[in-house]
Amino acid sequence: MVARWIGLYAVFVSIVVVSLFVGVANLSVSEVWNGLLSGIGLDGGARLTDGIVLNIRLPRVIGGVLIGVALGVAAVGLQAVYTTRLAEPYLLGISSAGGLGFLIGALFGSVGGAPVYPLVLAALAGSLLALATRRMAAIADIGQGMILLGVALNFVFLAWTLMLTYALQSPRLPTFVYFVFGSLGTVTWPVVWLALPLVAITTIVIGRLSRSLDLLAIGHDEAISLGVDVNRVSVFVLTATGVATGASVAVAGVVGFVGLLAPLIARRFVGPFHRHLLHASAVVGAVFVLGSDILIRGIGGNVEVPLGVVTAAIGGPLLVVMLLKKRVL
Amino acid sequence: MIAVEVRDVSLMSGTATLLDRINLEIPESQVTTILGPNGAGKTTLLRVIAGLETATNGEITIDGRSTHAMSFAQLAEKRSYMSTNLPSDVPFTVRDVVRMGQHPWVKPNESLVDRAIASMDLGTLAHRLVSSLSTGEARRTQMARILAQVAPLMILDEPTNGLDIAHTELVLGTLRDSAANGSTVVAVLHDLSAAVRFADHVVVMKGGTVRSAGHPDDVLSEELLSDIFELNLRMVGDRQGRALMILPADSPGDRTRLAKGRQ
Repeated sequence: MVARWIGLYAVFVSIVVVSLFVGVANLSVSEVWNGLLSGIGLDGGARLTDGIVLNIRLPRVIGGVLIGVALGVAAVGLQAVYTTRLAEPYLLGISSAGGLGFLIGALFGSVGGAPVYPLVLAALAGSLLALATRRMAAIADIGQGMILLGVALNFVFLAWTLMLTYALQSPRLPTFVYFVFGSLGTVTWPVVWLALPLVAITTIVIGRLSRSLDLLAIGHDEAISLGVDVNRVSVFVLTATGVATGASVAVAGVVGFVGLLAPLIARRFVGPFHRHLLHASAVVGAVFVLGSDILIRGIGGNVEVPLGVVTAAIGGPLLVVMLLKKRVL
Repeated sequence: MIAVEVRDVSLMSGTATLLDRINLEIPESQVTTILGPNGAGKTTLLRVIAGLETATNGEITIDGRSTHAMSFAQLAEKRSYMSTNLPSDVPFTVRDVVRMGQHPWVKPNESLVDRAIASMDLGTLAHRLVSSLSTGEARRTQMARILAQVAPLMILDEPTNGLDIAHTELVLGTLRDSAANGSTVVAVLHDLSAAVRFADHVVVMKGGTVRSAGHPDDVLSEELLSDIFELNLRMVGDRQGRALMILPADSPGDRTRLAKGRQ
């Protein structure tokens, strides 16, 4: 097990380092190193390359880690609550609800350059929808079939997002394609600093419930019979999931399939117990997002491919394989 | 001594009455079986007693304490519960799931987990994923989890569903041993002959109400069972020796004609 953790973190660190070097500007090792040192006041900081490293690449990398962690952890929580490996923020419509919340918040403008209102409304909308999905699943008595309802909700929120964008034509709203498919190209420090504590807190909240999540995974009746207050745990997990997803939407827009892929790979590395699974899914999520982003920047061209296009190109076929193997429903 | 007391319990779902003013006493350290046709309310009653559903009216006490006043964690120290539905796609091994039975207790007792696995004939399967087991093997895994929980009240919904005859005997025998050692067992069983042979106390339900309850010899008669199941039933064999069989009096062809006649 120790070797697997070392391997996982070795991949993570490598991909973070590579991320700092990939981009339009071709930077040398010393330029990147000096740029990082300038950020902590140990070097000049007046060079153009310092600005590229500190204000473009570093927030992009940290933003990528944040959304990978947020979506990886959120998906593990959702999969325990809905007892299906198909549950993830994007397929349940939580990401799109957060996206619509973000857009509505964007109309109110920013506070000192930080997207405070959009982030708060994204987190709120994500949480409310996450809680609503549970209520809807209970009313319709559909349990794992919740995913189909989530797909429908996804379309509804996407349609409203599109309508809002076209109807208002506001310069305050982000570019539609980059927003609904996600991109790390516009990540700035203010949004990173806003999202960081939210992702950290929600990760801790879900992490502290890991023993209860283990019991949820053997069935809700079984968990209750073993002393878990399933309603309470579900409300905590869904609220935290919505907040984490909303924060990720504020950083990079709506990015799909990270939550589908990260727990799947993490489970193979560390097994089904949530204490390890949440941790590993967070790391794999970050690796997947940063890896996809490296691919985008490596492809080059005048216009960047949106992040969600790459994650969907990888995650979409995976979903098909999962469905064909009937191991998830 | 009374282990569980059900006082005037009703449960409504929309306009449907699932349980209608149930009053019941379940004796301590005995095996109680609940019998009745499909839709009688047996599973619902078990779920309400176990605290998985909340009654619309009435109260349930376990060891004299109202279940309303207990948290889920406190309930887990008092009772265990096995659902009739087996959870699907469980990602853990047999041993992991049985060990989870120890969750309510501060210090897990590994020897108890080993004993529970061995007693359900799961020794060779202990490291297999539950999702790869047959229905019977998964059922026995759930049973071992219940044994590992060591709760004084065991509530079981069709614990022999999907088991072959040898493992049915194993499960029923283990439950009888548990009762002999002081546990109170409440189980829904569909095999009437096994239910009679196995039980110290029977509860007969229909339409969300309790029709009769007491010692099997006092309660069970051909008239009552035929009435409850709307089918002519005969009791054959030795009631005292617990070798009693409950069989349909008519041949299957007769019953088909009867059912068609009703339509």
